[in-house]
Amino acid sequence: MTVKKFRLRTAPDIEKEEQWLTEMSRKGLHLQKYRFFTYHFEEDPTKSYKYQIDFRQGPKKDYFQLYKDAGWEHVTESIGTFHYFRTDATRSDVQKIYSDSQSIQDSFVRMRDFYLSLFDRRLPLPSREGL
Amino acid sequence: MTKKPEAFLPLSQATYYILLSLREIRHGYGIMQDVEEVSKGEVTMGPGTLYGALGKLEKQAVIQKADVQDDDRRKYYQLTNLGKEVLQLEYKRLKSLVENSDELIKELGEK
Repeated sequence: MTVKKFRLRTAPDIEKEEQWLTEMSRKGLHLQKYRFFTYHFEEDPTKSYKYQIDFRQGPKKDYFQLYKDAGWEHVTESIGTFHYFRTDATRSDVQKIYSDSQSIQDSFVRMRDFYLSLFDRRLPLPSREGL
Repeated sequence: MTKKPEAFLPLSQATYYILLSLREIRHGYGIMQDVEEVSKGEVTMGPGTLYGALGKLEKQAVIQKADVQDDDRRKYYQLTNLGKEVLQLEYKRLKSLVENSDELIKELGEK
């Protein structure tokens, strides 16, 4: 059975959204699709997943393969940039998709640049130096 | 213009382990497994962290793609000569840091 829920989501709430999806899954409702502010869930009380959302523009197949190899199943995406992944909640060997603060910071910068570019197309993307 | 190897230092823990694992040609997940093994389980790297780092390191010419046939779903990487130098320099930096402070840190514990 499919359950639909309408929910406005804003970019800075990624972590809250992940927690909400994980909590929904714990209750047996697993995200299948996200379209036009609507979450489509599939009901299965026997399963439970952890959800993670990644912001990435125009990833290629090696991106999806790497996540798959690492234990993350690609579920759905929104506007081609927010990618929803899940892994079995019981898997303790699969942690988070970002494992250090620098890469979390980088992903926020990518997201911020993306939103800024929507407002001002002329804005050049800042270059980042260092590792 | 390519940066001098010194300009890349210090490396983050993640970057150091990624470069170290690319002493051999590996794909992303192979790097994750090697890092976990080499660090004796101390460092587990998420795919998001790794993917971002690989893109950055490739752009900086510290690593490069390697041709591996029969697998078009994964990208394989290896160190460039610049990457080797960066890794060796960072190793020397860390080693001297530890050696120079060794006695002093021990004294600190005795106080």
